[in-house]
Amino acid sequence: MPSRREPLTRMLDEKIESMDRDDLRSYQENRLLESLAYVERHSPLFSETWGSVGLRASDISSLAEFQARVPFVDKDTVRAYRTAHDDPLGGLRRMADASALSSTTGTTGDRVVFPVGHGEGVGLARDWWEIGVRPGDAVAFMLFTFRGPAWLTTHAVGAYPVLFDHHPSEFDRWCRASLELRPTLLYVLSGPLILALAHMEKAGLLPYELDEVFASYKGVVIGGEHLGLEARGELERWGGEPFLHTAVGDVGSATECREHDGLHASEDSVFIEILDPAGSSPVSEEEVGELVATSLAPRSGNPLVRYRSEDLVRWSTAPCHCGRTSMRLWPVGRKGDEVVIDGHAVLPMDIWRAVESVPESSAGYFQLIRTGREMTALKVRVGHIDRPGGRPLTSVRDDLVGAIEVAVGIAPEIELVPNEMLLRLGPPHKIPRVASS
Amino acid sequence: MTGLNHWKVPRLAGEDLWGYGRYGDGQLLPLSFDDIQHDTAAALAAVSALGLSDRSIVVVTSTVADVGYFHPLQCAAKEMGLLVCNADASAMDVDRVEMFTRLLAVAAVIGVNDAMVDGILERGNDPKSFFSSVPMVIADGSASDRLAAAGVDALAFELLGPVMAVSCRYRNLHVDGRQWDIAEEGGTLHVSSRVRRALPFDHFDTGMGGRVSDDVCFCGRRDPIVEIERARGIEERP
Repeated sequence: MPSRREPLTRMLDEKIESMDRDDLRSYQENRLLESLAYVERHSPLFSETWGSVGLRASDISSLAEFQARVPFVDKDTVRAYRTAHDDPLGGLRRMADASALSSTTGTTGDRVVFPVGHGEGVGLARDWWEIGVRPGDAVAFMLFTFRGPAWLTTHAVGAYPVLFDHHPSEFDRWCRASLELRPTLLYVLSGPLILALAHMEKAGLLPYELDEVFASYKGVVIGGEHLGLEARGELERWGGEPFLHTAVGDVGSATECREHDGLHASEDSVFIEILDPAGSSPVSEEEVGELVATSLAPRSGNPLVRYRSEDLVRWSTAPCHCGRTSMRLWPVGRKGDEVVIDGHAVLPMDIWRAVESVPESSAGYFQLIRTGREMTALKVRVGHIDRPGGRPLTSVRDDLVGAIEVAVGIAPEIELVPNEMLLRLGPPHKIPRVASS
Repeated sequence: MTGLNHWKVPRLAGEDLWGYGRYGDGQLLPLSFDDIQHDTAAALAAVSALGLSDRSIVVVTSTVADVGYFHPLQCAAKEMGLLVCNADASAMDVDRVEMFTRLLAVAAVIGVNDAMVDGILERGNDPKSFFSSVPMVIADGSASDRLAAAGVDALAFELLGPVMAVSCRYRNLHVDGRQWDIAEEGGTLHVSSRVRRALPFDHFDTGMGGRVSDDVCFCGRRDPIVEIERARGIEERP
């Protein structure tokens, strides 16, 4: 635990966080080679996958060799092993070696069970320190339990959690506790929850001034999905500073620093490759590719090696003004969410702002209807609010068609549904952005 | 703590404070590291009394706000060598519980509440089928009644103010007697802390009717047994 005499630095772990990129690569290489040997011993999936191409962990002696020879896996690989071997853990780890089981969120298909090993993984502590959490601070922890005891991260920075459910029913209690305990961090809010808070404020359901409630917060971590314009606007109106946050291939996470120019990954615990989504060649910096993750801490975390996350990101290793040298990521969507209309690729992110630009759908709740990757028409299901005396829905639909056509060059077919219908598809911090029908 | 505002709790130095959970009607419950350690010891006795075998898989369902009760239980389960899976005790996360019970030989689901029963029913499942592969289900009093009505023979747990009472395998609801005094006063159960806690309690009215006994239980726990009297039966549920 950091002491109160900690130097006044932006970094909790300065040697790691500001490590020269060449030194980082050597550090990763050492950890990777140890990790591969561990994974081969403890993960039937990987020993089988590697064995099928005549590869042993001991054959790999460098990062370059690793990238050239080690096969990829993805969620389907894990599911296939699970079915073929009747192994609920998908061969990721032997049951006897697991000390807890986690799982994916399930927004992209049947959940995958992740066996977590013994020990502590690298947590969010560095990100929280950069935001401004210090020993003795309160952290409002507003989340779910299904990822395991992440609330213990607060103790890693000498702070303590104040525990809330990620649900609007907790707002009154959260407001009172914020005024009483003056937390410095809220982990996490999401677009749907921000809009629910704004709704309760405007309906007079919360007897608090939200700018006073937010006054102690140095940051609000945003999880779940892209933060829409309306939700961002509401949060900033209350004085909340959003810090975007995302998972890194089910191995780690990445969070914005105070420069708000990309999400930093902790590369001492995960080796990240950004590759052509349709192949295996690396994409250049500042370009968009698929994030492929390898855990460098397989004893404590998910033992994944060259795991294709399907997450599409822009990336850079250019130094950040915060002083950190770690890779920065800008999430743009998921590979499986892409539809191609007459050769024109469209991701949910491409139409987000267009949907938000129409007042009745400004919450940004929508889904691409995807019957396959290649489609002849762009079909979008859009959530709308019912305003008493509001415009006819035909007019709303026309505006949406126009805005989306301007954004992506394709006139979509629009299905309008009430916002609540899409929100019910949760988990509450996000909705599936693609539906099959 | 009659006459005291539980909200205006004294703050502890950061080094001693584990965090804040909740109790009662949404009150903040400060917990020290010592509290968590004592509660984990109590939870060890509670989990032991369930009679689960070594390396059993248990699904612990809780909301974050109730982590103050469930974190010690989870720590105890892990300390005993059980394999713990987490799911949210919410309607939306019953799919995750279903996934765990479908894929794994789950020995117990601990922490079922009304929201989860709602979620099971909303998805068109019947609770009996949903839990058919699970030998032991532990649900809070209200959910336990609803599950019983649906044919699920669940054990119970109850949140009695700051105290979590958990049934043993002989269906006796135990309260940790080393840390808490519990007594029926004026028709409801009152709890008082017996050891130093971040927030001491003195005859805190749980608002729940019931009886307390110090009968010897076959499970081996020597802790008080409480029997809850419900104000409303399952048939009166809205």
